[in-house]
Amino acid sequence: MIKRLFLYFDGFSAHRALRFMPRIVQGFLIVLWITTIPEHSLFWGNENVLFRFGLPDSLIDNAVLRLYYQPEIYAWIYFSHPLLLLAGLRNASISWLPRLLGWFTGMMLYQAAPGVFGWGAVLLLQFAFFLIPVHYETDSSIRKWFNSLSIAAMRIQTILVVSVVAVFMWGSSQWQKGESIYYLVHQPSEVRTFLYEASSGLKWLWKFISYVILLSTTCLGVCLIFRPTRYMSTVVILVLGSIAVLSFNNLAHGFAVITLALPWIDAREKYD
Amino acid sequence: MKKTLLAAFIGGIILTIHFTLCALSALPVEHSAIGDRYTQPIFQQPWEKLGSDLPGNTMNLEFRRKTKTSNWSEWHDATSTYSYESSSQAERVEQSIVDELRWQLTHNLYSENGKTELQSITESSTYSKALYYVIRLGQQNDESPADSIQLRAAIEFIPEMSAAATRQLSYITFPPYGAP
Repeated sequence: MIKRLFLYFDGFSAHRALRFMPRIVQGFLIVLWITTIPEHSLFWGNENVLFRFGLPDSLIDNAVLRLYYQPEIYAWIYFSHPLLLLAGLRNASISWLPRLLGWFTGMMLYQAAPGVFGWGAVLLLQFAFFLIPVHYETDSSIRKWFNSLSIAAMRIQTILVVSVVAVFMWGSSQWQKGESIYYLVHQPSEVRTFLYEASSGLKWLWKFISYVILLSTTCLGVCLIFRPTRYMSTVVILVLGSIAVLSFNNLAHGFAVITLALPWIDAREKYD
Repeated sequence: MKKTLLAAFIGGIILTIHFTLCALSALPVEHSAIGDRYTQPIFQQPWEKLGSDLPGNTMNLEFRRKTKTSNWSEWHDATSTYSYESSSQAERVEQSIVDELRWQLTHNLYSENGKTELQSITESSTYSKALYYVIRLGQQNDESPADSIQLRAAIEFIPEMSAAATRQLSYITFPPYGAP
C-alpha cells in the first residue's frame, strides 16, 4: 500500500497539468496586475491611502512587508512584477528564478494592500509558489521530484480549501437556510451591477444557488480524490469559477476557483 | 527503486508537516496559534471567510469637513465622492476598512447613562485607518486641508429574505477629529 502510494507520487513527475499550470496561474496574476494600473498610486508608493499599524517583526515579515516600511521603492517592485511573471511563463530549466522573484514581488504587493485583492490572490500566490520549481519534460531526477511535490502540494491544498470551506458552511446559519447568496448579491462592492440590481427579486434563484454551492462544496473534497468522480468534479469547479469571474467585481475570486480544478486535469486520464 | 521510494518518502514528510500546520491555522481548533505562527505571512489560510455568514447590512464610510473660513460641509461618501465606482478597487479598500469597523462596532459599541460610548472604537487602529484613508484620499484629489474632519458609518440593513423589501438606514457618527 505504502509502496503504491510512493509510486503514485513518483508518477506525478510528468503530469500534464505541469505543462499548462504555470502559464495559467501566472497569466491570472498578470491580469490581476493589469486591473490595478488605474488606481495603483492609491495603494502603493508614497502617496498611498493605507494606514499601517502593529506589524510583526521577523526576518520574513520584514522582507515581505518591505513596501510598508519603504513605500518609495514601490515602482521597482510594482513594475518588475509583471515582467518577472512573463519571464516565468516559459517552460525552461532556469524559469524557477523569474517565478521565484515574481511570486515574491507578488507577495510584497499583496501584503502592502491586502484589501485590493482579497482571498483569491492568496490562493493564486500559493499556487504560484508551488509552481516555482516546475520543469515539464525534464530529464533531471531532482526536478522530477520537485514536479511530483508540486502537483501533490497543489492537490492537497485544493482538498484543504474545499474541506475548510465546507466545514465553515455547515457551521453557518445563512448557508444552511440557503440565504448566503441573497446577502452576497446585496453587497454592491462585491458583485457586478446587474446582480446587485436583481438582488431584491429572484429570491428562489439565490436560494437554489446557495444550496447547489453548499452541496457541491461538501461533496467536492471527496469526489476529487476518486478517479470516477474526478472529471465531473473538475467540470463543476470550472463552471463555478467561470460564473464567479462574471459575477464578482474582484476577478481574483473567480480565477482562484478555476485554479482549484487545474491540478486535477490530466488529459491522459480521459482519452487514453 | 530504493532511491525513488526514499525521495517520495521525504516529499511525503515535507507535505505532511506543511499541510498539518496549514490545516491547524485554517480550522477553529485548539492549537491553531501554532499553525498561525507558521502560515503568517506567506502561507495564509483565510478560507474561513468563504464559508462564514455574510453581513446583514451594507456599510459605507462618510465624512464631512470644516475649514477656518467655512462651516461643516454636507456628508459625503468617502470613495464615491471622488468619482470612484462601487466596483473600483478604492471601494474594495474602503470596504475592507468598513469590515474592521463593523467588527469594532459589534464588539466595542456600548452605551452608558443613555449615551453612546465610542471611545474604545476611536482609540482603535481601525478608526485611524478610516480617518487616514479619508484624509489621504482628499489629498490625492487635491482638496485643501481641513481644520476638522468627522466620520460616520452609514448602515443600510438588508431586509430578511422572507420579508418585503424595505429601506432601513442608520448612522453612527464619530466625534470630530482636528481643531476643536
